[in-house]
Amino acid sequence: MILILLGDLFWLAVFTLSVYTVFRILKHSSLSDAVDSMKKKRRVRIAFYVICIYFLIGFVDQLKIPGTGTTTEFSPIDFFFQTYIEKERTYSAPWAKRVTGISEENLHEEINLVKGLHLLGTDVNGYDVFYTIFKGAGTALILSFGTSIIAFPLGVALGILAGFFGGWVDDLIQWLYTTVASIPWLLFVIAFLMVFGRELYWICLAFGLTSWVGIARLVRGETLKIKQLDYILAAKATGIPVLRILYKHLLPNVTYLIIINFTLFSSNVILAESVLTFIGIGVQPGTASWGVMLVEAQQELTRSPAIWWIFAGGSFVGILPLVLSLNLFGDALRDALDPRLRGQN
Amino acid sequence: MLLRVKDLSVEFKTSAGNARAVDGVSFNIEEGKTHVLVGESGCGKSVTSLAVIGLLPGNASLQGGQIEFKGKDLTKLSRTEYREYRGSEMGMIFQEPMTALNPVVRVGHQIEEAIRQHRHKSPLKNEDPFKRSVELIDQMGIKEPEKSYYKYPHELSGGMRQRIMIAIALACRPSLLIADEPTTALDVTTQEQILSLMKELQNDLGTAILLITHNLGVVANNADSMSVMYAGQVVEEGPVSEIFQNPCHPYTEALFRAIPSLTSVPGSALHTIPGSVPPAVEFDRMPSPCRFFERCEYQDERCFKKSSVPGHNSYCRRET
Repeated sequence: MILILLGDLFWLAVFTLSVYTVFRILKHSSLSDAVDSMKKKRRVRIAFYVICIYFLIGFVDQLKIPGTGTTTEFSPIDFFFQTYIEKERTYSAPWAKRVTGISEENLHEEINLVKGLHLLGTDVNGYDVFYTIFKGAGTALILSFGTSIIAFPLGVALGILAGFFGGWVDDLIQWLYTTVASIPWLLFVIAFLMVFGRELYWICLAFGLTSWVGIARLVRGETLKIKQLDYILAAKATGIPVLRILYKHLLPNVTYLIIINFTLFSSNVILAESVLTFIGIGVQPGTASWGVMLVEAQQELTRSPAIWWIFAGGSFVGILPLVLSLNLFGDALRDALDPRLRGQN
Repeated sequence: MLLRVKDLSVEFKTSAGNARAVDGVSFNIEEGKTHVLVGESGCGKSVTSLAVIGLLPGNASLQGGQIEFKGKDLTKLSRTEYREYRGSEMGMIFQEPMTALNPVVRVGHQIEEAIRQHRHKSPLKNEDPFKRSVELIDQMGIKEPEKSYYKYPHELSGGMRQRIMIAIALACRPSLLIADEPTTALDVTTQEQILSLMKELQNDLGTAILLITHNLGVVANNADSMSVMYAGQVVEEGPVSEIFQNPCHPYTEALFRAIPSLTSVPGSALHTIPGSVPPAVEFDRMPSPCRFFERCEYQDERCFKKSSVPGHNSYCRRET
């Protein structure tokens, strides 16, 4: 019980922190022209709202309310769907009036017209497809944040150390990340998950430990540029110790890279999870994810009549909008922040 | 004597060989006075100043000489000990105010950082860093100091940024301020404001200044003594007034001649010094009697003998 409440608090804290960070970024005076140039483009605004909606749903799904004696804990999304949307017996097409039967006797059961309005139909167990999509958003959120919290601190720290100190430190870190990058990613992840298990946190760890390389390279390059600048020399001339310089002067100047890469990174993670699940080594069977929807769609699409709505939901309402928005937004961020910061005078 | 630099030499390891960018440079600075290092680009003035504050880049090494500051030889200090001097006893300001301030940190914070770093030292023990930063901003002549504290560097003009840099350097009331071409990037009127601000602060705080510039106009009004540098060596040194009245070394003469004057005939050619400063790698490979020989207008057999002029030192080998 306490664990559940702690978990809720944790996710609430993460949520508040994220919202606060976004607001700080939006209001930061040195970014104001970048923000303005992005606000003007409608495509970027829409992408931003889409990302916000998906992440919001994901966050809501993480808040677990402890169950009573017979029920397990549930989230507000579970609650909404259990109370207001009827669980059917089995498949039904979007907006259908009847359930698609498997056994003869209940072949054409009627659907309650109000509670039974399923915008994208239901899956094999009768759950509304939107329910799975929302739960999938929750999984996507955990993966995105979980992998980032492992990959980014590791990649940024090593990148800064390698770039700033050079010499053997740089050689060592470069050796490290070149080695990690040369391991076939898929094989590593499969092996990792087979050893440790397929829970979401293991997946985050597996992804995180392999994908920190990209951000490390970028941060190392930027550090090489920044350490030549006068303000680093000025900080040294003021007697500030090196580690403090790295933390207070260098790190804030590579933060824009973190912001840009977080969005692009998240989109890769979501797609990677689908790939893994498709192969069969992804999330555990009980967990809802968009990848799972796609995998099950394989067989469902071969039925006659084809059951297309789960595939459509998983891909066109689940994966596509979020990944597309993350990419669009990330590109817009990169355009806005990169040249701006360099040409700023 | 606050600072005594004796026979300082700095060598850089480069792919083209070792470059002795500073070769046997000596000068002294008394407390509260201003000494200036003058010379063309590439003559080693900036490297000398970096050597004094102990921030030579990784591929540079001291190859001899002493830097005696308040009686202690700085060349013998460990990194931690040296760090205690920087910021508190010695401050440094740089040429380009935009790149010398961190663009994502508020200017007030940058000043405060300097204070907090050396707070444990006695003159600063009981000061509130925030109040002192605002005080400093005010002393620098920036209006609305409390508001300006929260500004970012890009919200300030070049002159204001330079003032902030001076504030950071002087925050802990150092005895020596090293100013590496502080006004080169500013327009003339701002130059004048910054230099008079520095003089005022020097009077108030008793700070000695090691000024580096290539602008003789700046030297005239702001320095007590000067060293003219060429190719890593000091070619002439002495009180500013004396050298201005009576420049002895051909290089110094040529520098003065190169200054355009209000009285010159319109349309006449400007005086230049033919050739250019060779790269530092070639300094000690120069075969001639002195490093300036190839560009010197005199070049005669007197070059091969030593001499010096009373009043100030000139290292030209001709007899006068």
